[in-house]
Amino acid sequence: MERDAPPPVPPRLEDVVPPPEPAAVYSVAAAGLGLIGVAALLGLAVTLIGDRAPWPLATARLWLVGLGAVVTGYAVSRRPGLPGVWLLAAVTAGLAVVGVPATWDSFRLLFAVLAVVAAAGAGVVALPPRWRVRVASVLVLLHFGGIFMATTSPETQGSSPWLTHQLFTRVYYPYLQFIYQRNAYHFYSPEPGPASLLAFMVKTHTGERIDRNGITVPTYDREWYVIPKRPDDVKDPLAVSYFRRLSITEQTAGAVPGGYGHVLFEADEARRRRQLARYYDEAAQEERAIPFHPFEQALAQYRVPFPNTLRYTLPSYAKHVIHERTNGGDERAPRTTVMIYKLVHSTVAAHELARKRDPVAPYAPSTFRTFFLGEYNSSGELVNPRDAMLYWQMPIYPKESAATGVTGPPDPDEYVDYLSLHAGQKFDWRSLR
Amino acid sequence: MSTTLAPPPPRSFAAKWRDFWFAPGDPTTLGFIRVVAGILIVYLHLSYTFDLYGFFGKYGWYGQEYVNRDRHEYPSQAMPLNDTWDDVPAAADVPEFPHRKKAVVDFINRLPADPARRADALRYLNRLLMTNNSEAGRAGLRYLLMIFENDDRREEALRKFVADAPALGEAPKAPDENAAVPALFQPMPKDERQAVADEIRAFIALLYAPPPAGGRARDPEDARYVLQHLVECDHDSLKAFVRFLVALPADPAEMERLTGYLAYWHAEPSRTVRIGHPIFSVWFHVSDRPTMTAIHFGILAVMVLFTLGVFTRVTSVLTWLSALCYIHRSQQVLFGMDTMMSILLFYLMIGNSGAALSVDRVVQRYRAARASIRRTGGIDEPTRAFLAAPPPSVTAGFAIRLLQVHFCFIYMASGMSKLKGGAWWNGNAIWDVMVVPEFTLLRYPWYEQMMNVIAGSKPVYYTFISCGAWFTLFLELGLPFLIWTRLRPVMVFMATLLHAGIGVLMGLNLFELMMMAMLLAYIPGGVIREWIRGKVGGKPLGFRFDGRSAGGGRAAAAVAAADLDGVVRFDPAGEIAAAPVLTVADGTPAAREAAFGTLAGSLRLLRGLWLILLLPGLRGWLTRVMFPAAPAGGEPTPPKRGVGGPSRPTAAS
Repeated sequence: MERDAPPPVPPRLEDVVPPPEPAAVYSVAAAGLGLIGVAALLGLAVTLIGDRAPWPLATARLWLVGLGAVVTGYAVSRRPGLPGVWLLAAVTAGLAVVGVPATWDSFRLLFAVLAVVAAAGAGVVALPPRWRVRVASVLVLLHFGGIFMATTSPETQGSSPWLTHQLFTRVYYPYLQFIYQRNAYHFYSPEPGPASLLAFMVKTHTGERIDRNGITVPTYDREWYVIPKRPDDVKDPLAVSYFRRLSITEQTAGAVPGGYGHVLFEADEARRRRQLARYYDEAAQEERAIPFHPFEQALAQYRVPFPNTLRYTLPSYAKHVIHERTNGGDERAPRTTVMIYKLVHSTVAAHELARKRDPVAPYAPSTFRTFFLGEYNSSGELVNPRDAMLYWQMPIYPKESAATGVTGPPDPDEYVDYLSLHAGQKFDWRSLR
Repeated sequence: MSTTLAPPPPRSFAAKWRDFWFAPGDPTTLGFIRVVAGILIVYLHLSYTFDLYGFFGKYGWYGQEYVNRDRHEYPSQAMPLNDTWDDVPAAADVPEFPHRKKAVVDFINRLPADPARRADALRYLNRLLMTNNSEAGRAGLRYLLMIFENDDRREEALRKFVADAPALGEAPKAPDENAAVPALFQPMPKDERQAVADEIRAFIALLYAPPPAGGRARDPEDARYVLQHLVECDHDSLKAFVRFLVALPADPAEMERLTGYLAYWHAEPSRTVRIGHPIFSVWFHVSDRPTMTAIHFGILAVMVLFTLGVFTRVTSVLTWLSALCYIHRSQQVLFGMDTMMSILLFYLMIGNSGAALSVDRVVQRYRAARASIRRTGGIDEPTRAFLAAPPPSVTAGFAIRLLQVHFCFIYMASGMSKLKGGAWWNGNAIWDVMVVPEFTLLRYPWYEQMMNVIAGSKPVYYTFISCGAWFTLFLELGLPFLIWTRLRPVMVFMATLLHAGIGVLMGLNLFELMMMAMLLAYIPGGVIREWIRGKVGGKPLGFRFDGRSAGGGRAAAAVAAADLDGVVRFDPAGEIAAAPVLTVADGTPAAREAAFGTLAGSLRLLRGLWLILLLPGLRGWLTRVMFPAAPAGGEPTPPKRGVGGPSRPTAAS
């Protein structure tokens, strides 16, 4: 504890510069209070007027509250040792709760929290130094207690410690969530996993045609869109924008162990539907079967994403992609759907990379375990929840005729690629490197 | 005389605790962290500019409608505090798969609004639940699955079900598990079976019921999905589901609200610890592009001010709140870097991070020098000490401790969690981390070649990965302890090495730079000052001024504020100077413009501002402040009443 002993003590700021007079500080704080008070009065007027209140009133209230908060904060920073100015700040923040328009409800929460903090600050500052140290010590213990709960909150073998579960959920979560310090810091553990990409096949319905068998077939404009992708998504020198997209794809990475095997009926139906999976072969103008992946166990080929991914994440992503790819939702949007595929990029083991015979190239199409996550419309709804390939793996593997022992980048044409066949357009594997 | 020092007196735990957390600390460390972290944070948020609407807009990756619903409705659930081992609580739920969920939700929405009628229609389910036997209940539901679809077959089956009842007085047979009628009902006499059959009819009628507002009856497939859902519920879940159905209010709007909540969140509001997230963000409320852009650049301006240390007490809070606005709005785009950023900002806000290496500090230097000149006519000893180094403060020491301890938590948690994984024990984790194509440099042929070379020789490969894993584990588990010993410099160096390695090889450069910024908390302020100061060269300068005149005092204070390295010797004019004069080493005075030029070339602060000094008028203004013209008649201006000390300059300056 002695290692950080302070250097020989220079004088304190207040020893060499007289601090501002309390009256001056209070007058600044009062100005902040006044600004927010006007916002609150405007709020009262809006309540009385009702729906007929002109919109600039809301804007004016926001400006007044923002300005008032900064002015009050400045007053506190001038003399943080004055309990009165903290108290005034607490009143100001409390008034800001009603000063902010009701539609800005999250800022009402923020100002309520600030009011509590300022009131607590007034109390702490008013205490004698010895008690101030005690209170600060308790706060330190509570804070790091929360950090400790966060670090022990991830489940191990299906559960987290009972005490952690209770304290984290009931006590600490609001605090840690508010200040965003609920990370468990379990980086690359228990083991590093592969990264995932998302491939979106954006399909806009353009009409219909009769194929040579006399069957009416819908026609589409199709476009592949993949995230993250270099160099398109590297928009800044340190590639932060690229890594943020990796986080977006990571949200869909998890899967329910056993693929909802406990859900007997759906699992059974999904297996039966899978047997009947077809794609439309443009060249042959007929439907053809999609086989199971020949090198993987059939059950391992069914991976249902986590519930949150199904419920909110994928629908939101689908809406975003359709909105973006139709220039902000133009007239094509209602005719557009998006097929979402998750590409889990397996890492190559050392022996696979270095072996002399048939080395595995790190970007070979077969290193991507590809799962179909559904086709969504512009409202974020699954077009067909009973799609035969929903949550099933797309078989991608080297053709039997593929050249072996060849080093260098793999040729995508040497692979059986049901991703391209299922989506109806060739997927550019080379663009992933 | 003995050269042995007496051991320090033993201190209590409370005293050690107090000294650890609340001893005044050098704010230079905190100020340096602010500068480094501030630059990173400005960059981080600047990079959002390209994706502002894609990440935070109405139709962002996580759309506004989703995040708003999330923050208002998200159910936080916890196990009951006082449940027993046998009392595992279950909650009502609906199927996950959309087509099945829709069928079940439709079923709930078509229930009779009248609670009595509803309870009556659900009597069959209650009968099954009363058995307290999961398998018996499931058999009762499977029986429905067999008969529900065809009206004629169902009626036939139910007639048979009643007719086959054991006759009055007949000895009960052993239950036949293979019979169509569930074992639960087999011993029942005829009248009781008749009651069961009526209950079954009532329940099946419910399965096919049209909507309350009128419309067509339900599809048999939907009815099957409802039955299958009930079969798949275990006993407790079924009990919870039936309880939910029975307890639904009669008010259709409220009923729809509760059912909608269950359908979306798979939870009952009444069985949550809390609803919604305590988060805030300007991006929840703003979605039009021009306003978003204006707010974004306003936030960037605040962050730049924070980095420069302008009104740091205020801008640190605003920067923290602004950063949280981005974080809370779109957690889907975050990764470890954002966590580190929020930690840094939180503690930089608690300590006065603007007390050193900041514009605030320059202003304080000016004010201190000015006050001293007013008091004494010159720069007195306490002020010189203040100018030489920022004074230690309790908040700075406290914030540095918080950062240090938090960093230990991060390392310990990271190291401990790795111990759960086999790949960290056998070393394969290092390989797995180094060949993730999306993160590492594997896209470059030279890197792939390097990995090939490592993998090409087993001894090289295993030595490499084992040493890498051991190094990581040793550091993450050892640093939290060894950092408090005299090995601190070694640990800081090793940790820097680790983060630099990850940053370069894995591309997570900003994340690792944030971690390194946190590591700075272990570097004493004096060391940082020495780094920054470097080798102060150049000829010493003299500044002669009249401490009694307002202009002279202002000028001297301005020069003192800018003279970070103490190269100027202040001479409050033994013989009264009409105007401030700068003298170089040999005592030669310099004219006003030339004097400012000399200062601008000699003082590091002004040298660093050369670009800003090119702004029209700024150089002239500073020249006038630092070297004001002599007042008319050459008489000095008396100091203001009440603010000055003795009018005579003191030798101490």
